Amino acid sequence: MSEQLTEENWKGTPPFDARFPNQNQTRNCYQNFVDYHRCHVKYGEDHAPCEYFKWAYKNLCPPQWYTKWDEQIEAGTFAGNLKG
Amino acid sequence: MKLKPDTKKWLVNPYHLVEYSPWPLTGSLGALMLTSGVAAWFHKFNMNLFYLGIMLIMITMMQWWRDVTRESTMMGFHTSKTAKGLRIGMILFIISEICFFFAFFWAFFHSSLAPTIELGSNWPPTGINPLSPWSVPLLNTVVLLASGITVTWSHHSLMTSNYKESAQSLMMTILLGLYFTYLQGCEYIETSFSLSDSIYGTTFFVATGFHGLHVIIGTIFLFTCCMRHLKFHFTKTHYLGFEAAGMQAAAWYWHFVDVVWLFLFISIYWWGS
Amino acid sequence: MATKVFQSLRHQFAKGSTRNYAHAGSHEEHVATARRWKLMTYFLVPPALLATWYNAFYISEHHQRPEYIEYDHLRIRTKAFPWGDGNHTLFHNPEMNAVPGVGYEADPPHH
Repeated sequence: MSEQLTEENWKGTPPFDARFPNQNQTRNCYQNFVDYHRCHVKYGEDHAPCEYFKWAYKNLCPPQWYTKWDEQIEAGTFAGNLKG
Repeated sequence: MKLKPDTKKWLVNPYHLVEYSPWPLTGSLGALMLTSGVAAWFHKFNMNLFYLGIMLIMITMMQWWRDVTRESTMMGFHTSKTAKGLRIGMILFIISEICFFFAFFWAFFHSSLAPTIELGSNWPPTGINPLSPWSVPLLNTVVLLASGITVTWSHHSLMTSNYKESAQSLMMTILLGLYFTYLQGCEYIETSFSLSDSIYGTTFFVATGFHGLHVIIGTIFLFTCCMRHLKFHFTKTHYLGFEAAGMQAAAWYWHFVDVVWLFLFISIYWWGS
Repeated sequence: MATKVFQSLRHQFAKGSTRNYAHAGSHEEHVATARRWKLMTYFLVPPALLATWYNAFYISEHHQRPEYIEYDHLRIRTKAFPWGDGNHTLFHNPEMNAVPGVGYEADPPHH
Protein backbone atom coordinates (compact mmCIF):
# COMPACT_ATOMS: atom_id res chain seq x y z
CA MET A 1 0.00 0.00 0.00
CA SER A 2 2.47 2.58 -1.06
CA GLU A 3 0.62 4.47 -3.75
CA GLN A 4 -0.12 8.02 -2.75
CA LEU A 5 -3.82 8.75 -2.45
CA THR A 6 -4.94 12.30 -2.96
CA GLU A 7 -8.27 13.99 -3.15
CA GLU A 8 -8.43 13.36 -6.89
CA ASN A 9 -8.89 9.66 -6.27
CA TRP A 10 -12.55 10.09 -5.45
CA LYS A 11 -15.01 11.42 -7.98
CA GLY A 12 -17.98 13.66 -7.40
CA THR A 13 -19.22 14.33 -3.89
CA PRO A 14 -19.27 12.13 -0.77
CA PRO A 15 -22.03 9.51 -0.84
CA PHE A 16 -25.11 9.51 1.39
CA ASP A 17 -24.15 8.88 5.01
CA ALA A 18 -27.02 7.28 6.90
CA ARG A 19 -25.69 8.67 10.17
CA PHE A 20 -26.65 12.15 8.94
CA PRO A 21 -29.89 11.75 6.98
CA ASN A 22 -31.33 15.24 7.40
CA GLN A 23 -30.84 18.59 5.77
CA ASN A 24 -28.44 19.90 8.42
CA GLN A 25 -25.10 18.37 7.39
CA THR A 26 -22.96 20.18 9.96
CA ARG A 27 -22.25 16.98 11.85
CA ASN A 28 -21.33 15.20 8.63
CA CYS A 29 -18.72 17.83 7.83
CA TYR A 30 -17.42 17.92 11.42
CA GLN A 31 -17.29 14.15 11.78
CA ASN A 32 -15.20 13.72 8.65
CA PHE A 33 -12.82 16.47 9.76
CA VAL A 34 -12.35 14.86 13.15
CA ASP A 35 -12.09 11.36 11.65
CA TYR A 36 -9.35 12.54 9.30
CA HIS A 37 -7.20 13.56 12.23
CA ARG A 38 -8.09 10.54 14.32
CA CYS A 39 -7.24 8.31 11.37
CA HIS A 40 -3.69 9.68 11.22
CA VAL A 41 -3.30 9.42 14.98
CA LYS A 42 -4.34 5.78 14.88
CA TYR A 43 -2.65 4.58 11.71
CA GLY A 44 0.27 6.97 11.36
CA GLU A 45 0.94 10.14 9.45
CA ASP A 46 1.70 8.34 6.19
CA HIS A 47 -1.42 6.20 6.08
CA ALA A 48 -2.88 7.19 2.71
CA PRO A 49 -6.50 5.98 2.98
CA CYS A 50 -7.03 8.68 5.62
CA GLU A 51 -7.15 11.11 2.71
CA TYR A 52 -10.69 9.88 2.04
CA PHE A 53 -11.87 11.84 5.09
CA LYS A 54 -10.02 14.90 3.91
CA TRP A 55 -11.72 14.67 0.51
CA ALA A 56 -15.07 14.26 2.28
CA TYR A 57 -14.74 17.24 4.59
CA LYS A 58 -13.34 19.45 1.87
CA ASN A 59 -16.49 18.75 -0.10
CA LEU A 60 -18.95 19.03 2.75
CA CYS A 61 -17.62 21.91 4.82
CA PRO A 62 -17.52 25.63 4.13
CA PRO A 63 -13.81 26.49 3.81
CA GLN A 64 -14.02 29.11 6.57
CA TRP A 65 -14.87 26.31 8.99
CA TYR A 66 -11.96 23.98 8.33
CA THR A 67 -9.43 26.78 7.99
CA LYS A 68 -10.61 28.05 11.40
CA TRP A 69 -10.40 24.55 12.85
CA ASP A 70 -6.88 24.09 11.41
CA GLU A 71 -5.84 27.34 13.07
CA GLN A 72 -7.35 26.15 16.36
CA ILE A 73 -5.48 22.86 16.12
CA GLU A 74 -2.29 24.81 15.48
CA ALA A 75 -2.93 26.96 18.57
CA GLY A 76 -4.00 23.99 20.66
CA THR A 77 -7.50 25.36 21.24
CA PHE A 78 -9.55 22.93 19.16
CA ALA A 79 -12.42 21.78 21.40
CA GLY A 80 -13.03 18.37 19.81
CA ASN A 81 -11.33 15.09 20.58
CA LEU A 82 -8.74 14.35 17.90
CA LYS A 83 -7.29 11.33 19.57
CA GLY A 84 -10.24 8.97 19.08
CA MET B 1 -82.68 46.36 66.65
CA LYS B 2 -82.11 48.21 63.47
CA LEU B 3 -78.89 47.23 61.71
CA LYS B 4 -76.74 50.07 60.60
CA PRO B 5 -76.30 50.24 56.77
CA ASP B 6 -72.56 49.58 57.15
CA THR B 7 -72.98 46.32 59.04
CA LYS B 8 -75.55 45.19 56.53
CA LYS B 9 -72.88 45.52 53.85
CA TRP B 10 -70.55 43.21 55.80
CA LEU B 11 -73.10 40.51 56.30
CA VAL B 12 -74.02 40.23 52.66
CA ASN B 13 -70.97 38.26 51.50
CA PRO B 14 -67.99 36.63 53.18
CA TYR B 15 -65.48 38.08 50.71
CA HIS B 16 -63.15 40.90 51.55
CA LEU B 17 -63.76 43.88 49.29
CA VAL B 18 -60.67 45.95 49.90
CA GLU B 19 -60.33 49.69 50.19
CA TYR B 20 -58.55 51.72 47.52
CA SER B 21 -54.82 51.19 47.63
CA PRO B 22 -51.85 52.78 45.84
CA TRP B 23 -49.63 49.73 46.13
CA PRO B 24 -50.57 47.95 42.90
CA LEU B 25 -49.63 51.10 41.00
CA THR B 26 -46.37 51.66 42.85
CA GLY B 27 -45.54 47.98 42.45
CA SER B 28 -46.01 47.99 38.70
CA LEU B 29 -44.11 51.26 38.32
CA GLY B 30 -41.34 49.77 40.44
CA ALA B 31 -41.22 46.66 38.28
CA LEU B 32 -41.02 48.80 35.16
CA MET B 33 -38.19 50.85 36.64
CA LEU B 34 -36.35 47.74 37.77
CA THR B 35 -36.41 46.05 34.38
CA SER B 36 -35.68 49.09 32.27
CA GLY B 37 -33.10 50.02 34.93
CA VAL B 38 -31.25 46.79 34.27
CA ALA B 39 -31.25 47.59 30.55
CA ALA B 40 -29.97 51.10 31.28
CA TRP B 41 -27.31 49.61 33.56
CA PHE B 42 -26.03 47.22 30.94
CA HIS B 43 -26.12 49.61 28.00
CA LYS B 44 -25.67 53.06 29.52
CA PHE B 45 -23.64 51.98 32.59
CA ASN B 46 -25.99 53.97 34.85
CA MET B 47 -27.57 52.29 37.85
CA ASN B 48 -29.90 55.04 39.14
CA LEU B 49 -33.10 53.78 37.52
CA PHE B 50 -32.33 50.29 38.75
CA TYR B 51 -31.84 51.46 42.34
CA LEU B 52 -35.07 53.47 42.18
CA GLY B 53 -36.94 50.43 40.92
CA ILE B 54 -35.60 48.23 43.69
CA MET B 55 -36.51 50.76 46.37
CA LEU B 56 -40.01 51.23 45.02
CA ILE B 57 -40.63 47.49 44.90
CA MET B 58 -39.30 47.00 48.45
CA ILE B 59 -41.51 49.80 49.75
CA THR B 60 -44.53 48.41 47.90
CA MET B 61 -44.01 44.94 49.36
CA MET B 62 -43.63 46.20 52.89
CA GLN B 63 -46.64 48.50 52.70
CA TRP B 64 -48.91 46.12 50.88
CA TRP B 65 -48.32 43.15 53.15
CA ARG B 66 -48.45 45.36 56.20
CA ASP B 67 -51.94 46.40 55.01
CA VAL B 68 -52.93 42.75 54.59
CA THR B 69 -51.74 41.98 58.12
CA ARG B 70 -53.66 44.95 59.46
CA GLU B 71 -56.84 43.95 57.64
CA SER B 72 -56.64 40.33 58.73
CA THR B 73 -55.02 39.99 62.13
CA MET B 74 -56.03 43.37 63.50
CA MET B 75 -59.30 44.18 61.83
CA GLY B 76 -60.65 40.68 61.33
CA PHE B 77 -61.72 41.03 57.71
CA HIS B 78 -60.50 37.60 56.71
CA THR B 79 -63.21 34.99 56.75
CA SER B 80 -62.69 31.35 55.87
CA LYS B 81 -63.66 32.16 52.31
CA THR B 82 -61.01 34.88 52.15
CA ALA B 83 -58.40 32.57 53.56
CA LYS B 84 -59.34 29.88 51.09
CA GLY B 85 -58.92 32.38 48.29
CA LEU B 86 -55.51 33.35 49.60
CA ARG B 87 -54.47 29.71 49.75
CA ILE B 88 -55.59 29.09 46.17
CA GLY B 89 -53.73 32.22 45.16
CA MET B 90 -50.52 31.00 46.76
CA ILE B 91 -50.84 27.63 45.06
CA LEU B 92 -51.37 29.31 41.69
CA PHE B 93 -48.36 31.52 42.28
CA ILE B 94 -46.19 28.52 43.07
CA ILE B 95 -47.44 26.85 39.88
CA SER B 96 -46.36 29.90 37.91
CA GLU B 97 -42.94 29.63 39.54
CA ILE B 98 -42.77 26.00 38.47
CA CYS B 99 -43.39 27.14 34.90
CA PHE B 100 -40.60 29.69 35.34
CA PHE B 101 -38.06 27.07 36.40
CA PHE B 102 -39.31 24.61 33.77
CA ALA B 103 -37.94 26.97 31.14
CA PHE B 104 -34.45 26.92 32.59
CA PHE B 105 -34.45 23.17 32.92
CA TRP B 106 -35.55 22.96 29.30
CA ALA B 107 -32.66 25.18 28.29
CA PHE B 108 -30.24 23.01 30.26
CA PHE B 109 -31.41 19.74 28.72
CA HIS B 110 -31.57 21.24 25.22
CA SER B 111 -27.91 22.20 25.47
CA SER B 112 -26.60 19.19 27.34
CA LEU B 113 -28.38 16.31 25.56
CA ALA B 114 -26.91 17.25 22.15
CA PRO B 115 -23.72 19.24 22.83
CA THR B 116 -22.64 21.27 19.79
CA ILE B 117 -19.37 20.91 17.93
CA GLU B 118 -18.18 24.22 19.33
CA LEU B 119 -18.18 22.63 22.77
CA GLY B 120 -16.34 19.58 21.48
CA SER B 121 -19.50 17.47 21.17
CA ASN B 122 -19.31 16.49 24.84
CA TRP B 123 -20.88 17.52 28.10
CA PRO B 124 -19.40 19.01 30.21
CA PRO B 125 -17.74 20.97 27.39
CA THR B 126 -14.01 20.72 26.78
CA GLY B 127 -12.09 22.80 29.28
CA ILE B 128 -14.78 22.84 31.96
CA ASN B 129 -14.10 21.12 35.29
CA PRO B 130 -17.52 20.59 36.87
CA LEU B 131 -18.02 20.64 40.64
CA SER B 132 -18.18 17.30 42.37
CA PRO B 133 -21.83 16.77 43.36
CA TRP B 134 -20.79 14.77 46.41
CA SER B 135 -18.97 17.61 48.09
CA VAL B 136 -20.74 20.85 49.05
CA PRO B 137 -23.79 20.28 46.77
CA LEU B 138 -24.61 17.15 48.77
CA LEU B 139 -24.30 19.13 51.99
CA ASN B 140 -26.63 21.74 50.51
CA THR B 141 -29.15 19.02 49.68
CA VAL B 142 -29.09 17.77 53.27
CA VAL B 143 -29.38 21.34 54.60
CA LEU B 144 -32.50 22.02 52.55
CA LEU B 145 -34.09 18.67 53.35
CA ALA B 146 -33.40 19.31 57.04
CA SER B 147 -35.04 22.71 56.75
CA GLY B 148 -38.05 21.01 55.20
CA ILE B 149 -38.27 18.81 58.28
CA THR B 150 -37.97 21.72 60.70
CA VAL B 151 -40.56 23.82 58.88
CA THR B 152 -43.00 20.90 58.93
CA TRP B 153 -42.39 20.53 62.66
CA SER B 154 -43.03 24.26 63.06
CA HIS B 155 -46.26 24.04 61.11
CA HIS B 156 -47.61 21.09 63.08
CA SER B 157 -46.64 22.50 66.45
CA LEU B 158 -48.43 25.69 65.48
CA MET B 159 -51.53 23.60 64.89
CA THR B 160 -51.23 22.20 68.40
CA SER B 161 -50.72 25.76 69.65
CA ASN B 162 -47.28 24.89 70.95
CA TYR B 163 -45.98 28.43 70.79
CA LYS B 164 -42.45 27.80 71.99
CA GLU B 165 -41.69 24.80 69.77
CA SER B 166 -43.20 26.48 66.76
CA ALA B 167 -41.00 29.52 67.19
CA GLN B 168 -37.87 27.44 67.84
CA SER B 169 -38.29 25.21 64.81
CA LEU B 170 -39.11 28.20 62.63
CA MET B 171 -35.87 29.84 63.71
CA MET B 172 -33.99 26.62 62.96
CA THR B 173 -35.48 26.64 59.48
CA ILE B 174 -34.34 30.20 58.91
CA LEU B 175 -30.83 29.38 60.13
CA LEU B 176 -30.61 26.43 57.76
CA GLY B 177 -31.81 28.63 54.91
CA LEU B 178 -29.13 31.19 55.69
CA TYR B 179 -26.50 28.45 55.89
CA PHE B 180 -27.54 27.20 52.44
CA THR B 181 -27.19 30.69 51.00
CA TYR B 182 -23.79 31.09 52.61
CA LEU B 183 -22.57 27.74 51.24
CA GLN B 184 -23.82 28.53 47.73
CA GLY B 185 -22.07 31.89 47.86
CA CYS B 186 -18.82 30.11 48.75
CA GLU B 187 -19.35 27.66 45.91
CA TYR B 188 -19.95 30.48 43.43
CA ILE B 189 -16.62 32.01 44.40
CA GLU B 190 -14.80 28.67 44.35
CA THR B 191 -15.86 27.39 40.91
CA SER B 192 -13.24 27.43 38.17
CA PHE B 193 -15.93 28.26 35.59
CA SER B 194 -18.09 31.37 35.39
CA LEU B 195 -21.28 32.63 33.74
CA SER B 196 -19.43 33.42 30.51
CA ASP B 197 -17.94 29.93 30.11
CA SER B 198 -20.02 28.61 27.22
CA ILE B 199 -23.63 27.50 27.55
CA TYR B 200 -22.52 25.33 30.48
CA GLY B 201 -21.81 28.38 32.60
CA THR B 202 -24.97 30.09 31.41
CA THR B 203 -27.33 27.24 32.23
CA PHE B 204 -25.56 26.46 35.50
CA PHE B 205 -25.55 29.97 36.93
CA VAL B 206 -28.92 31.10 35.61
CA ALA B 207 -30.70 28.03 37.01
CA THR B 208 -28.85 27.90 40.34
CA GLY B 209 -28.81 31.67 40.57
CA PHE B 210 -32.55 32.05 40.28
CA HIS B 211 -32.95 29.18 42.72
CA GLY B 212 -30.68 30.98 45.17
CA LEU B 213 -32.74 34.16 44.83
CA HIS B 214 -35.84 32.14 45.62
CA VAL B 215 -34.14 30.69 48.70
CA ILE B 216 -33.38 34.22 49.86
CA ILE B 217 -36.95 35.30 49.21
CA GLY B 218 -38.27 32.23 51.05
CA THR B 219 -35.97 32.95 53.99
CA ILE B 220 -37.28 36.51 54.22
CA PHE B 221 -40.85 35.18 54.05
CA LEU B 222 -40.15 32.73 56.89
CA PHE B 223 -38.45 35.50 58.85
CA THR B 224 -41.50 37.75 58.63
CA CYS B 225 -43.66 34.80 59.73
CA CYS B 226 -41.34 34.33 62.67
CA MET B 227 -41.61 37.99 63.64
CA ARG B 228 -45.40 37.86 63.42
CA HIS B 229 -45.47 34.63 65.41
CA LEU B 230 -43.40 36.18 68.17
CA LYS B 231 -45.90 39.03 68.24
CA PHE B 232 -48.71 36.50 68.69
CA HIS B 233 -50.32 37.11 65.32
CA PHE B 234 -50.85 33.39 64.85
CA THR B 235 -53.12 32.05 67.55
CA LYS B 236 -54.80 28.76 68.25
CA THR B 237 -58.34 29.57 67.28
CA HIS B 238 -57.42 31.76 64.37
CA TYR B 239 -54.66 29.69 62.88
CA LEU B 240 -56.36 27.44 60.47
CA GLY B 241 -58.27 29.85 58.38
CA PHE B 242 -56.99 33.26 59.04
CA GLU B 243 -53.75 34.84 60.08
CA ALA B 244 -51.63 31.77 59.73
CA ALA B 245 -52.52 31.36 56.10
CA GLY B 246 -49.29 33.31 55.77
CA MET B 247 -47.39 30.62 57.68
CA GLN B 248 -48.95 27.92 55.54
CA ALA B 249 -48.00 29.81 52.40
CA ALA B 250 -44.43 30.26 53.61
CA ALA B 251 -44.14 26.54 54.33
CA TRP B 252 -45.47 25.65 50.89
CA TYR B 253 -43.07 28.09 49.25
CA TRP B 254 -40.18 26.66 51.22
CA HIS B 255 -41.04 23.10 50.16
CA PHE B 256 -41.21 24.28 46.53
CA VAL B 257 -37.73 25.80 46.85
CA ASP B 258 -36.48 22.52 48.30
CA VAL B 259 -37.98 20.47 45.45
CA VAL B 260 -36.45 22.73 42.80
CA TRP B 261 -33.07 22.21 44.47
CA LEU B 262 -33.53 18.43 44.31
CA PHE B 263 -34.20 18.68 40.57
CA LEU B 264 -31.18 20.97 40.15
CA PHE B 265 -28.96 18.61 42.11
CA ILE B 266 -29.99 15.52 40.17
CA SER B 267 -29.90 17.02 36.67
CA ILE B 268 -27.27 19.77 36.64
CA TYR B 269 -24.91 18.75 39.44
CA TRP B 270 -25.07 14.97 39.19
CA TRP B 271 -26.16 13.97 35.67
CA GLY B 272 -24.45 16.98 34.09
CA SER B 273 -21.00 16.35 35.54
CA MET C 1 -61.25 10.64 56.06
CA ALA C 2 -64.87 11.33 55.18
CA THR C 3 -66.08 10.57 58.71
CA LYS C 4 -63.53 12.95 60.10
CA VAL C 5 -64.82 15.72 57.82
CA PHE C 6 -68.35 14.92 58.95
CA GLN C 7 -67.30 14.94 62.56
CA SER C 8 -65.61 18.29 62.23
CA LEU C 9 -68.64 19.76 60.47
CA ARG C 10 -70.92 18.50 63.20
CA HIS C 11 -68.55 19.89 65.77
CA GLN C 12 -68.66 23.23 64.00
CA PHE C 13 -72.41 23.43 64.07
CA ALA C 14 -72.66 22.07 67.58
CA LYS C 15 -70.29 24.61 69.05
CA GLY C 16 -71.55 27.42 66.87
CA SER C 17 -67.95 28.45 66.37
CA THR C 18 -66.47 29.97 63.28
CA ARG C 19 -63.57 27.56 63.26
CA ASN C 20 -62.69 26.52 59.81
CA TYR C 21 -60.80 23.29 59.42
CA ALA C 22 -58.12 23.40 56.78
CA HIS C 23 -57.24 19.82 57.70
CA ALA C 24 -59.85 17.39 58.90
CA GLY C 25 -57.77 16.04 61.77
CA SER C 26 -58.15 15.78 65.49
CA HIS C 27 -56.01 17.57 68.01
CA GLU C 28 -54.37 14.31 69.08
CA GLU C 29 -53.27 13.60 65.52
CA HIS C 30 -51.63 16.98 65.24
CA VAL C 31 -49.79 16.41 68.49
CA ALA C 32 -48.57 13.08 67.17
CA THR C 33 -47.34 14.46 63.85
CA ALA C 34 -45.70 17.43 65.53
CA ARG C 35 -43.87 15.01 67.80
CA ARG C 36 -42.83 12.90 64.82
CA TRP C 37 -41.24 15.82 63.02
CA LYS C 38 -39.65 16.99 66.24
CA LEU C 39 -37.99 13.61 66.71
CA MET C 40 -36.78 13.67 63.13
CA THR C 41 -35.28 17.07 63.74
CA TYR C 42 -33.40 15.89 66.78
CA PHE C 43 -32.32 12.44 65.63
CA LEU C 44 -32.11 12.50 61.82
CA VAL C 45 -30.95 16.00 61.03
CA PRO C 46 -27.82 16.52 63.16
CA PRO C 47 -26.05 13.27 62.14
CA ALA C 48 -26.92 13.79 58.46
CA LEU C 49 -25.68 17.37 58.57
CA LEU C 50 -22.54 16.42 60.48
CA ALA C 51 -21.69 13.58 58.10
CA THR C 52 -22.17 15.57 54.90
CA TRP C 53 -20.41 18.62 56.37
CA TYR C 54 -17.40 16.55 57.37
CA ASN C 55 -17.37 14.88 53.96
CA ALA C 56 -17.59 18.18 52.10
CA PHE C 57 -14.84 19.97 53.99
CA TYR C 58 -12.48 17.22 55.12
CA ILE C 59 -12.85 14.24 52.82
CA SER C 60 -13.75 15.59 49.40
CA GLU C 61 -11.03 16.69 47.04
CA HIS C 62 -10.66 20.36 46.47
CA HIS C 63 -12.15 21.59 43.18
CA GLN C 64 -9.34 21.59 40.60
CA ARG C 65 -8.82 24.42 38.18
CA PRO C 66 -8.21 23.42 34.54
CA GLU C 67 -5.15 24.36 32.50
CA TYR C 68 -5.48 27.76 30.87
CA ILE C 69 -6.19 27.10 27.16
CA GLU C 70 -7.77 29.89 25.13
CA TYR C 71 -10.76 27.93 23.91
CA ASP C 72 -13.16 29.99 21.80
CA HIS C 73 -16.23 28.80 23.67
CA LEU C 74 -14.99 29.82 27.12
CA ARG C 75 -14.63 33.23 28.74
CA ILE C 76 -16.95 34.78 26.17
CA ARG C 77 -16.80 38.57 26.02
CA THR C 78 -19.17 39.78 23.31
CA LYS C 79 -19.94 42.78 25.52
CA ALA C 80 -18.03 44.23 28.44
CA PHE C 81 -19.47 43.64 31.91
CA PRO C 82 -20.97 46.87 33.29
CA TRP C 83 -18.73 46.77 36.38
CA GLY C 84 -15.05 47.05 37.15
CA ASP C 85 -12.85 46.84 34.09
CA GLY C 86 -15.58 45.00 32.18
CA ASN C 87 -13.46 41.88 31.92
CA HIS C 88 -14.11 40.17 35.26
CA THR C 89 -17.20 38.15 36.15
CA LEU C 90 -19.32 38.98 39.20
CA PHE C 91 -17.91 36.26 41.47
CA HIS C 92 -14.42 36.44 40.00
CA ASN C 93 -11.85 34.55 42.04
CA PRO C 94 -8.27 35.32 40.92
CA GLU C 95 -7.07 31.94 42.17
CA MET C 96 -9.69 29.92 40.32
CA ASN C 97 -10.93 32.01 37.39
CA ALA C 98 -8.83 32.95 34.38
CA VAL C 99 -9.17 36.27 32.61
CA PRO C 100 -9.33 36.06 28.80
CA GLY C 101 -6.15 37.22 27.20
CA VAL C 102 -4.28 37.16 30.50
CA GLY C 103 -4.76 33.76 32.11
CA TYR C 104 -4.85 33.12 35.83
CA GLU C 105 -4.02 36.15 37.92
CA ALA C 106 -2.94 34.28 41.04
CA ASP C 107 -1.45 30.97 42.03
CA PRO C 108 -3.82 28.07 42.69
CA PRO C 109 -4.83 27.58 46.31
CA HIS C 110 -2.80 24.88 48.10
CA HIS C 111 -4.42 22.85 50.81
